[in-house]
Amino acid sequence: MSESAHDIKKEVKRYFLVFAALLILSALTVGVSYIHFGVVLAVAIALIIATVKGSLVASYFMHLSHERKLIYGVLILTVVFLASMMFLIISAYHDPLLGTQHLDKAHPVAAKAQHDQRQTHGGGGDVH
Amino acid sequence: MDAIPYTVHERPDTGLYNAKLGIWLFLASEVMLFGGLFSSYVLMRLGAISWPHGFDVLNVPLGAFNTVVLISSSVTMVLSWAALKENNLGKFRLCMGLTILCALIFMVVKSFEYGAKFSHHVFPATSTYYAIYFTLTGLHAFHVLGGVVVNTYFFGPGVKMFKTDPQRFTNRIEVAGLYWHFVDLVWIFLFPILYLL
Repeated sequence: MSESAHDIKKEVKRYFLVFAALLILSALTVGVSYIHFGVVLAVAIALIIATVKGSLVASYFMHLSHERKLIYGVLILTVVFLASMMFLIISAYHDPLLGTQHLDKAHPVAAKAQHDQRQTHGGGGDVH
Repeated sequence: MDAIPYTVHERPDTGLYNAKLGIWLFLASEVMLFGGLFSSYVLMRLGAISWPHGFDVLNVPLGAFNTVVLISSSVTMVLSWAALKENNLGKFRLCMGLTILCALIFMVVKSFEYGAKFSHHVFPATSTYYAIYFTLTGLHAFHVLGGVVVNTYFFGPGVKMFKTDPQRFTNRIEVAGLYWHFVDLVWIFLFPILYLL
């Protein structure tokens, strides 16, 4: 790690270029949010821009573009664990608790409210 | 011999000085911490019958302003490290001072946003959206505060080390920078997810 003054100057210039790119992408992500795409497309666009911005920060400010192999190893492992955890947590949406499978998956809250109402109504019938 | 070995020179088997591997392992654990909350956000949003649009309930200009502030602080942070590489302590102090200033501006803006919500009787218990909003941004704000504490130490009393052990101090700033860029990175994802979608 003995960069010459010239190398540092070049690095600093690159930092400012990345800064400019990050500002442009930030403006883009706000601008795009005013256009009404569908939810799926809006989420995809926002996440793609955020990922590009995140990659710029990680590659240049965090020096990941030229880092030791061990760091890459740690990060690959982290990504695997992160993806597994996200998969497990989000898959809970498709795997409701036992006994609640009859609920409408598209609108679980509405379905549950309807279900509760039906039960209350049914209960009232019993009293009569 | 120092209490902690390899603070300056790279350890032969890892190719890294120890603090750098340490901070990356810590950041890996941080990815899991925020990742768990991001996953919870996705799960709750998928399961909700209605979910407010961020731009309807939050102040997008303030959020966008804070994004620019945090990105700027990341640049000044990396510039402060570059200044040390150039042996320019004055420039280091200027850049580090600006980094701390940006962090404080971020916190002031965030507190205004929180204050506006509280004054309208909006709290984490108000809705699932606000629960995850306050949890994610609150946890992130604590990280910003932690960064301010560490950076202020290096700006103030900690800078003495540059006279006695410049390479070790430069490494410390690199490590503090890695943490700071991570905090910036988290905000890069939080901003669109909470404010724009």
